Amino acid sequence: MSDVSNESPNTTARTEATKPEAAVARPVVGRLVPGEAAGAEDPSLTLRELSAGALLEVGAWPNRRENVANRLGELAGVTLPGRPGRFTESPSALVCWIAFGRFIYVGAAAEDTARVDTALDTEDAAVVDLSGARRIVRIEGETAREVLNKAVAIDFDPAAFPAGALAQSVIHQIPAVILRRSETVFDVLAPSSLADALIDWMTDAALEFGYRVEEPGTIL
Amino acid sequence: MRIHCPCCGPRGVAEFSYGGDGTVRRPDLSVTDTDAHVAYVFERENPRGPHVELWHHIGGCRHWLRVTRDTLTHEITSVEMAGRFAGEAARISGAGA
Ligand SMILES: [Zn+2]
Repeated sequence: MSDVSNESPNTTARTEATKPEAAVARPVVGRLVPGEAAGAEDPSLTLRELSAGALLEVGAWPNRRENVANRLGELAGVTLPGRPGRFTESPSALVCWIAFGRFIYVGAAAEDTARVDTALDTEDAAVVDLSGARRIVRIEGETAREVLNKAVAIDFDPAAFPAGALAQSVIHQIPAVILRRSETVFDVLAPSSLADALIDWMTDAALEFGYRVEEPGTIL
Repeated sequence: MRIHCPCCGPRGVAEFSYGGDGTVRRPDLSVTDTDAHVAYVFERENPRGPHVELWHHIGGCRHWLRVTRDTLTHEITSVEMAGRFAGEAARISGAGA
């Protein structure tokens, strides 16, 4: 756990005018501040927060999976992955098959919440809007997998866990969904109320490799 | 100890919580023999060797699993999906690879 205080040791020497700048110049616990860098002169990792227009969990009733998968595929404009533990994406949506009967639908547009909800029959599935309930952190770089492997004992070798693979696991006691977007890019979905703690852990874990924080982006 | 989840693949035991003996069956509620209900709630074998038990993949897919584990060596010889999605799991190839 990092230092929980953002105060520099010489707080008393600060003036009102320098306070905000002084806070940005060093790691801020629990928040990603664009432009912040730490750990190395030439950081090998970048961190940034991503947003989504819509983020929904879809729970298919037993034996309704095919209907649900077909509907989600049509909505997203993708062919769904063949099994849980995989995701597929189009420019407008990303469909994660997270467990038997359970999907996460990430849409680029806020209207996707209503679109998906109305497109699915309640006899087939239940839809829960998680748009405000998840935050997404991207870690990118050659050593990103090493950082994640400090928390999760999952084989991130590209042969075992290629781009398009996902894992639900626990990072720093926080339930997380890890999406491998490419060989060096991982997106981590975490409950909003715990995302500050995830960022706190991640900045700490990334420190030995060095990281730079980039401007927030979108997941699609 | 690692458990090979049929949905998620091999994961450390810390991601799972133990759900007890996987062989006990609750007597039908119409059964009035109280001994049968006492046995269901309290009486367990304490086997030395293979044991069928329930594990919940709470830190992963959140499915319930029926695991055959040797209580002496921790060797796991079988992991099956328990519950309503067991049939679906059996029909999807490549899951948990
Ligand atoms: Zn699992």
